[in-house]
Amino acid sequence: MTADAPALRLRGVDVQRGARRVLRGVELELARGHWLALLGANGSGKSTLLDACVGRLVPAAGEIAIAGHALQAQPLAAKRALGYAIAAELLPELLSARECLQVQALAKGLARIDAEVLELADRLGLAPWLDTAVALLSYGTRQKLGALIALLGEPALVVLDETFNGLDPASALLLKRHLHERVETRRCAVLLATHALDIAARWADRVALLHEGRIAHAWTRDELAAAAATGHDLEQLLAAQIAPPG
Amino acid sequence: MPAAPLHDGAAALALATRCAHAGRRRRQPLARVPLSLMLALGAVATAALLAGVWPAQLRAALVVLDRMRWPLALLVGAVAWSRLRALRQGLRHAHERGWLAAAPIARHALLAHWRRSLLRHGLGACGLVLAVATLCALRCALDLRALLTTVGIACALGAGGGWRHGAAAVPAAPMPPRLRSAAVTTAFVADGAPLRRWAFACWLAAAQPRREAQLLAPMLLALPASTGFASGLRLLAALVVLVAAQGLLRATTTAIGQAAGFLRSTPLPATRLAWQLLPRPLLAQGGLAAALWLLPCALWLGAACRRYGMGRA
Repeated sequence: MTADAPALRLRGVDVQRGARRVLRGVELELARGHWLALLGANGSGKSTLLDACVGRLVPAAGEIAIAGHALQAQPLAAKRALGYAIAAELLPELLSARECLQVQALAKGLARIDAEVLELADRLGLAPWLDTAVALLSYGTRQKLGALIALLGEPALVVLDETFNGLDPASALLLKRHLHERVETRRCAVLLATHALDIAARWADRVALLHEGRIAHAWTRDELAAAAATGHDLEQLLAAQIAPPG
Repeated sequence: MPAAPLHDGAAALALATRCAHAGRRRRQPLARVPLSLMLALGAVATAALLAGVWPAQLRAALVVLDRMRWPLALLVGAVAWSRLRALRQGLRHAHERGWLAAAPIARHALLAHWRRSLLRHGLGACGLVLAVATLCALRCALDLRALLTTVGIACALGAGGGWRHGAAAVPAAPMPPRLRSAAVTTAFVADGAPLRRWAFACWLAAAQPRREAQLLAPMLLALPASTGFASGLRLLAALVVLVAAQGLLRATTTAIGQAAGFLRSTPLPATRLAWQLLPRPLLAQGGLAAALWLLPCALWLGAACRRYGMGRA
C-alpha cells in the first residue's frame, strides 16, 4: 500500500452497459481521511461507478487505482485495501451471517474476524442473528451485515452503496459515528452513494453530483457551509445543477 | 381523473395477456429458434417415415408398446396429474402472491391466457399422438386404438385429478432454503468451511424429492410384472444416482456463481476459491459416477429388451 497515494483515483473512466454508455470519462479523486458522498438521480450511474471501483465491472476505458494500486494491473493488491458493503440482495442466502463474515475474513487474508467488527455487530443488534441464515434476515439486518463485511480488515477505502437504506435511526447513527471515527483517526476514506441529503450534508467532507455519466459538480464542506449561510441548502444546489434556470 | 378499476373485460384480458407474453419472452429469449428446429426435424422425420420402409424393430417396439398399455397409461396419468397440479398451484400462487396480486384484475382474466395456452398445448399433443397412430395404421397395419383410448382416458383422469388436487392443496409458502442444522458456535476465526459446504447447501436447497418421487414412482410401476425384485431395485438405484448427480452438478455451478459474486471485491484469487469450493462436490460426483458404473443396469436393460422381443425382427 502506498502511504501517500489517494485512497481512490479514477481517470477517464468509461463504462458501457449494453448499448448504453453509463459513465463518460469520470474523473474522481478521494484522499485518505475523507468522506465523499456521491449523489445523483436514479439511473445516473452511481451504482455502476461503485461497481467499477470495486472490480465488479470492468471499465471500457480509463484507470482506477485504490491506495495507489491499479485495479486492472494489480487487482489483488488493490482489493486488499478495499472494503465493499455488499448489497443486501447479493448476500448469499444459504450462509449464516457469521459464515458470511468468516468467508470474507478468509478472503481478505485475516486470521479471524476483527474484534472491533464483532463489537460493532453487537452494538448494532446483530449478535443474536449471527447464526441465522441470510435468507431469514430482514432487509435492514442484511444491510448491517453488508456494512460489517466492508469494515473487515481495516480497509483504506470503504465503499457503501446506499447502505443506510433500511437501517433504523439508532443503528444508522451508530454506523455513521463509527465511519466518522475511522475517517478522522485512521485516515480511512469512505465513498458513499446515497440519496439521503442529510447524511451528505452533515457527515461527508465532499459531495459530488453524478449527472449524465459525469461528475457534474462537487462541493466541499466549506462551500456547503458558505451556501447555507446565504440561505441555500444542498437540495437547492443540486436542483440548480441538474436543471439550471433559463 | 382516477383510473377505472379493471374488474373484467377486454382491457384486463389484454393486460394479463401482455404480462404473460412479456414474462415468457424474458424467460425464453431464444425459444423460437429451438422450436423452429424441432418443427423442421419433425417434418423431416414424418416425411422419412412416410416414404421409407419401417424397420422390423420399430414395428416390434410398437407391438410391445401396445402390450404395455396399462403401465403406460399409469405413467401418463401420473405425469398429467403431477403437471396439472403444479400448474394450478403455480397459478394460485401467482394470483395470490404475485406482483399483480394487489392489482384490480379479475382472477378469470388472469387465468384466461393460461387456459388458452393449456388448450393449445393439449391440442398439439393430441394432434401428435393421432398423427403417430395414423402413421402406424397406414404403414404397419397396426391398430393402436385400444392403446390410445387407454392412455387418453388415463391422461384425462390424471389431468382432472391433478387440477382438482391443485386447488385443494395449500399453495407452497416461500420456504427458506433447507440448511444443515448449524450448531451455534462462538468461533470467530476466518474459515473456509462454508465455502466447502456451499455446493451441498445449494443441492439441499434446490432438492425437490417429492417431485422426483412423482416421476420415479410411475417408472417403477410401469415395469412389467415379471421383472425381478433385484433388477427393479438396481434400476431404481441407477435412476436415483442419476438424479442426484444431475442435481449436484447444477448445485455446483450455482455455488460457483454465488461464491464468485460474493467474493469478487475481495483479494481472494480464483484458484484458491476453486480449491476451497470444488474438491468435495467433485469427490461426491466421482462417488456417484462410480456407483452408477457399478450398477449392472446395462445387463438388466439388455435382458428386458430381449424379453419384449425388441431384438427380434
